[in-house]
Amino acid sequence: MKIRGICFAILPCLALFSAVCAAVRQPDPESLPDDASQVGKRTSRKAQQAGVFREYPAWEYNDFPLPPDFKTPGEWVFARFMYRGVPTWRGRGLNWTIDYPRSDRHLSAAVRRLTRIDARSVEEPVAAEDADDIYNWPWLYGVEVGHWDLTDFEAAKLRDFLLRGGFFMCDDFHGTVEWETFVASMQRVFPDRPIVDLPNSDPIFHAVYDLDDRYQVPGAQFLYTGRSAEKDGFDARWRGIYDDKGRLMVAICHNMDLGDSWEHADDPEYPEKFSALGFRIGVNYLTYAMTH
Amino acid sequence: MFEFLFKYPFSVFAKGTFVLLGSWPRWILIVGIIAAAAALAVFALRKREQFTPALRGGRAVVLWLLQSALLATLLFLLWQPAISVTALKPQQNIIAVVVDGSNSMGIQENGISREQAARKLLDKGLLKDLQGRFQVRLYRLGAGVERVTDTNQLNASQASTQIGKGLRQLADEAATLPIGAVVLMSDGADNSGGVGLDTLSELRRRRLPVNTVGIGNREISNDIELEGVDVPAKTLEGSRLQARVTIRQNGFSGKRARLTLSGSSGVLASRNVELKSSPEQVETIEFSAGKRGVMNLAAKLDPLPGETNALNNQLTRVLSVDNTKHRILYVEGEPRWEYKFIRRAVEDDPAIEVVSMLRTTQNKIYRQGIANPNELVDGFPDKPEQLFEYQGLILGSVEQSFFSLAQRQMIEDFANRRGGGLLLLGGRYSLADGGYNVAPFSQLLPVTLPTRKNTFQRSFVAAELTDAGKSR
Repeated sequence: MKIRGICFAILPCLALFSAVCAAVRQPDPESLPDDASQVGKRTSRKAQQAGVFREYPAWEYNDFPLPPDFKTPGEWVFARFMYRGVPTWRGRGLNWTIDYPRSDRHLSAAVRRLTRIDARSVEEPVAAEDADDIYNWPWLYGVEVGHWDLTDFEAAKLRDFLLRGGFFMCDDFHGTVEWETFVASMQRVFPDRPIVDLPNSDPIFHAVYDLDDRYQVPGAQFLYTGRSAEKDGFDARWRGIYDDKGRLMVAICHNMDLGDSWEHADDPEYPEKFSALGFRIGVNYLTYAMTH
Repeated sequence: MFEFLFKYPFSVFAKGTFVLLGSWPRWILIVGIIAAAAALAVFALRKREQFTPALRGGRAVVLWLLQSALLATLLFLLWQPAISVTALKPQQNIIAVVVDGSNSMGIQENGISREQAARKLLDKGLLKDLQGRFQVRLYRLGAGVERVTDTNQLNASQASTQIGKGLRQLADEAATLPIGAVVLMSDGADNSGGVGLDTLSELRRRRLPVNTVGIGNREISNDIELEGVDVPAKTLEGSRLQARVTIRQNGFSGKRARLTLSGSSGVLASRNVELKSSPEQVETIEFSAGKRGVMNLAAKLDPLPGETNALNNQLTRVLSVDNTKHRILYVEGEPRWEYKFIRRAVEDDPAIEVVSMLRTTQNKIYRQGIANPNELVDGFPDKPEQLFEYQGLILGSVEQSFFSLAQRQMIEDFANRRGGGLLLLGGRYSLADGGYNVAPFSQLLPVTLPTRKNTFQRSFVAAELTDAGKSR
């Protein structure tokens, strides 16, 4: 009886002690100081590490064969931005997965073939919410950004990423409506920076290839419609956003579908000239991103 | 007793060399000894029958040996054995008495300063004793030796003493003057430069002994001393530097001292230093170089209460700040993120300009930072004068076979003859994987590269700010 009484006395004390310990937050020896923006927050060493390679269910492909060297790391990786889509009656769309992963892997193969860049054979889907992972992939690609609806966090994170030296290329959105949807989110990223047309003299058009003579690159719909334009996007517009030092941070490919030109490069029906230009633009853009 | 018997003390015999003063050759002595011993042996053999039984056998041999030794000794003495020692000739040799004139000789101990103690020692009898046997010249030691006529001209006013330089001067004077010895009176503090091997060799060659007389206590109690300050002699305008300061302390373990670095514009940096229990510790202090010009950098430790000597708490160094723009040639063999961020990092630096050539494809070079369209238009420089225009060369992930034989030789000359800085970065085509383990690079590099390939590997690392980075 006496022993039971002692146990009954000790157990609550132990429980109370555990609760107090849990409540008192021990400093994480690995954590680093926050920065003022609270978005580019440097967390622990673990959060800075790149995650394990993952494949996601996609709109178009769900069983695309993996290359044998997919685990081999590389200097440049096709990083695909996993943004939040606009709300539809079916829920928020998975537009970020358009062309994924076929176009990504085709461009990676082209980069290996055409340049001295050590390109990884597979892509890397990147989410802004995934701790500090976005900073591991300095070149980011966003497709069908005419259907994106960035959260405040995503916008702030993308801004921080770009101001630290990251590069964002967006592509495959057409016409006036999709442009306005794109701009609505882009202006939350950079409310104070204008979107401008890129002149032919910009170094991005001469980083590897001289691309003064560019033309509209249509998507696969060209095979059925015979039209290079979609919706009212008749004129291909190469636009961008510059930083304070005159370096391009955001490359905007409006009224064209470079992603499809990479995706269908091995399709004999898809005109070679569109893939050729698509690859050249891709190579120039990522070489620019790695040199400026 | 030894000196009474042998006229000179034992130490003289210990340092002397044995000689035979006789004019006949030594071999005659040896032959004579052998002949005498042989003659005695023959005589003993002939006369052995006449020996008493007690003297036969072993005893006869012993007798023969003793007689031979006696004859050998007599013969030896005929050759006049002697010991040769080096001794100064009275009144023909000069003794140079050198007295340390550094600030530390002004430290007060037992009521008088060290310099006064040295003068007292000289005036009380040392000088007179020396003058009784030799000519004496008195010198004051500072940046060099300066002759003085009497002890009243000795003082403790020099910032530091260069003993090596002073001894070298005396050694050079010994070429024309019969300086027989040096008497150096010093406290051993505030000495800069040390005594080089060449000075020691010269002193040895001239057979000039240096006799030291220590002045003052070996250790000063309750004292902190700034023993040394290491800063680069030259730097770029606006750069951030780190000075390494060596501090000695006695009696202030655990206390905090204030270390201040000042220049012509005022205080550049200041921080507290915790004095450790070890007698010597090295501390660092960061400061900005500021604008172009020559700066007299003064490092100082604020005196602590009860400190015996505050004269050794300060040192000065000269720092030359340059605003010349340094052009660095960066050759990169493949597009890499490192390349982009290196260029970004130095973009705003007014003192550095990075001119880069990047192999984007197998046969394309992308040039950036060039001064005009013709710079590097033909690729890596072919002529030394083209390469030597740059102050530094960075080789990124580019294999050494990218360069022609002549270009590789030029790179070696760039580092060895021109004095340019060479930096090699790691990468897929760098170091061992780039074939840099052969000449001329193998001779340039401070490391030995492995002979195997595929040493490059990629792995994620997490960045962490240092304390200095966190404070910014």
